[in-house]
Amino acid sequence: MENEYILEIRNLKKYFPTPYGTVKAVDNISLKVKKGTTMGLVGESGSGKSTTGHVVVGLFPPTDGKILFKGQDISMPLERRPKNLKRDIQMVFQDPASSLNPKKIIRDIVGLPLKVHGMVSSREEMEEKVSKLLEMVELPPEDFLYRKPTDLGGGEKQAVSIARAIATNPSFVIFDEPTSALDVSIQAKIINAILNIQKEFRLSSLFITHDLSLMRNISSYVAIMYLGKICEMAPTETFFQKPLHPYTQMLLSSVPVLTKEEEELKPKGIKSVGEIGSPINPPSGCRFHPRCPFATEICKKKEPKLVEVEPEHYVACHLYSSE
Amino acid sequence: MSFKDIFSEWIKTIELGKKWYRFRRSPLSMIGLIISLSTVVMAVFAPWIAPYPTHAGFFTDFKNATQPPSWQHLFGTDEFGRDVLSRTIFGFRYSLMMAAVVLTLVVPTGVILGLIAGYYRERWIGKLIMRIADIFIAVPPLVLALSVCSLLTPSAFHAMMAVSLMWWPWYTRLLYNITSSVKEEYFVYAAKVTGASSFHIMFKEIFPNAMGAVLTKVTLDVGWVILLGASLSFVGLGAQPPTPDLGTMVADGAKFLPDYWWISLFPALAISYVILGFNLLGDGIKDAFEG
Amino acid sequence: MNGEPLLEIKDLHVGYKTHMGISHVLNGVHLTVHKGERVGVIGESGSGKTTTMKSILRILPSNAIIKKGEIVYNGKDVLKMSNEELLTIRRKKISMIFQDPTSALNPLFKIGQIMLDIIKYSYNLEEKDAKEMALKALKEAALPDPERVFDSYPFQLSGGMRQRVCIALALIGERELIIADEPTTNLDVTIKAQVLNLLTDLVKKKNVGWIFVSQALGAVRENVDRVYVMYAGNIIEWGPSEKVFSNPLHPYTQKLLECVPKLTGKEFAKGIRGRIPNYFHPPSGCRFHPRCDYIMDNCKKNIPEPVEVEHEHFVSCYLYHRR
Repeated sequence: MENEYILEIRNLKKYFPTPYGTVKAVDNISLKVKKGTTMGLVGESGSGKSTTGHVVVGLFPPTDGKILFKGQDISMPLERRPKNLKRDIQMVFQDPASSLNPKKIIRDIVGLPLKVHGMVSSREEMEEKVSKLLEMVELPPEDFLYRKPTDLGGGEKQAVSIARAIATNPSFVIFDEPTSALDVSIQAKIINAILNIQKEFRLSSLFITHDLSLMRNISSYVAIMYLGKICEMAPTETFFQKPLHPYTQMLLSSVPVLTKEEEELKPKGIKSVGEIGSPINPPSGCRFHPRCPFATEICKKKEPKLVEVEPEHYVACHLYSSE
Repeated sequence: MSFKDIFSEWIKTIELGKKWYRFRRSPLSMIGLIISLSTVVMAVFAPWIAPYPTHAGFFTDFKNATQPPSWQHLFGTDEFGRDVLSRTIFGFRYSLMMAAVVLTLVVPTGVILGLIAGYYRERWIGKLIMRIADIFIAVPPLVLALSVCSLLTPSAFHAMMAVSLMWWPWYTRLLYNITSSVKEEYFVYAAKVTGASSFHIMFKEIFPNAMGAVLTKVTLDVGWVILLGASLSFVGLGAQPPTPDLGTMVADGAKFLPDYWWISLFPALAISYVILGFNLLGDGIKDAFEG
Repeated sequence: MNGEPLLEIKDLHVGYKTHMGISHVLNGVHLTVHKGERVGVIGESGSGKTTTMKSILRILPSNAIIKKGEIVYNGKDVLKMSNEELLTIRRKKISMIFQDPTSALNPLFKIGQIMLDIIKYSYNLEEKDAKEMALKALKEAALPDPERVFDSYPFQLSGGMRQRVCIALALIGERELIIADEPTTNLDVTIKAQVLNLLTDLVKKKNVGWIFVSQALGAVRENVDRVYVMYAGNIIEWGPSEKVFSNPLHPYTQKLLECVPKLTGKEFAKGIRGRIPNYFHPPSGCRFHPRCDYIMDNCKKNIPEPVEVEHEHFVSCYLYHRR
């Protein structure tokens, strides 16, 4: 039987030693991405969302835990990963300015994965395939094939990054805040290109972002992270109807919106307070307790487990645990 | 993919047209270019430019010895009656050859070691390379070159070897620094994720980003290598007489100071001329690449 | 709004001299702020928002040329002021909050030292009184434990706290106008909400004028009385915030608002075709015409005069001239 989940993360930990102490960037998280769906990973700085993406793609080996891709264990360092996996998992990075080598032309940048995986045999074939990829992200190839990234705007650079990521026809792509550096009108273009590509390639993906509105429009599942932990996970629709975790509610109430309809969705009477803790020395018990309006004694002492409160809707909060 | 292809790609990444446009706008850079070119022309065409080409080798004409500058001998003649101007022009030949030999040895070695050290910064290989480089950098260059030269028989060839030995760590360090920072750029991550080889990443992703810095340093170093070579010759550890080496000529002439000042002054000025030229050129290249 | 305006920018034209020629950025910008009024300026990057703000305090880079226009502050033209008068304005009347709180505070000095220097310089106070003033300002900016903050170096504070310090500094004394240029762009979602709430509260409480420049449309909508929409160096639409956001008139404003992803998950626009114009050779007439769907002959020739479509809601567009 074919596996229902394309990606499974089990008890993943990633610690970075620093001179000031160990940064527990990702601390024991588990999540599953269903085939053909997009999991939105939402969090603020220090939540470990980007680190999770980097570990999945293999840039850092996990400290502990397992990552299964199509049922196969891929928690080894990148050098030891089979080459076909590198073709199958791709990533779009956050910063358009540093994502593309300023000294190379677009043809060679987008053509690199094709060349590495022996998918083209001649320069002509490469140009032809790269042109198709550029068309897919709405960049006219005749204008862009021979240009350098330095001549491009931020949105165009990010479109090139996406073209590069889909060049090898991967089944899984991680998008790490691909539009956070872009203007809204350009963001809209890029997001639409991503949505089209997801449909066309039947792509599964992990979409990392801090923007809940954006996440709502692009993902079918959502996981909210805070200081290295997942605090709530649900199908997008359920999540917006019934955000449960106090942090999620605070996050949602902090989103500035444009219409009255949207205001309806924001939890009432919740104000953002406090500072995000440090991942080196996170608060005891529930990591959100110093900022939580509902915190009790138990929250300071005991870390809440992620429990399923309704089908597919998981929360890690003592308010909802049966104990 | 052959090295020839890689090389032609590197050349393309320099974008000469744009750089030349920026370079041209600075008068100092242009002066540097003219000086540098003039020394190269003199070095290459020395036998045709020098008024008395035979004076470059074994030649004596004691009748005309130690003549002050005149229309016949613009820079005067030395103690053997040889024309100082001719010997200075030939001197450029030896100086530039010295620089060329040293830099062709040093630049590729230093660059490759630096790329490896920077790319594998956390591994033992990277650390080993950098510690060795540190040791060479810690010894004052002239002392190192002097001690090597005094161990071997003094000759131009050994001087070049000695200078090369102490010069490569600077390129290693330059490339190490650039590589360490460029390798954290997302485009390097992207290449890794897609499965590109370390060779590809080092030479085709990272190195093109260091080309400007390397080119600048090479140009500036031409002057410094010439100076160091001349210093070695000056103390008798480099090229041996009667080779018309600028350093040797200054040393020889120094014996006749202050009466026959022209014998040492003109070769000394020639050294300054070369160094000034290549320094201005190097600065110009740097500005052209950075702007 | 009634009463005398505090600040009035009239027909401001500013350009920059570069090696490629003159870039004609501002093309007749106008803006009015009354006493105690909160005014928003929205527009994408490169639309000239920052140039406009810098013109007010005359802190433009040296290659800028002010070709035409007036900036009247309390009845006097800032552009014609003597250095003495300008210094008084910069020290006591108008203050500015920048996007990056990290580079706004010199990392070598303690917060206290930075504040004392500014206070002593501006108000000729004794050390003791100055310190009192500084602590009071920190307290007003809702910084927990102002004494400790006073004794900290900038790197010891989080981004949110640093921006609060900048706010405290900006509001010291009897300021009349605060210019905030993207004050929360670099902050996390929940912290952003806190800082904006604080800024709005303080501005209301102290009854100072506030210009809030931002690309974050939702944040502007929720926090200002009136809003100006900028495109390519022109103010194209302005009016009461609620009206502009619920009933956008200019084709650009409409498109821009449609591009923002909604929390409701409603589909958003696919971006605006074309890109922001080249300022060396800007389009003639209305600068938006090459990207506009409703283009008419007139648009290419003349800059449209503003029309008051509803009460106090103006738009510069020929679509509204016919009526």
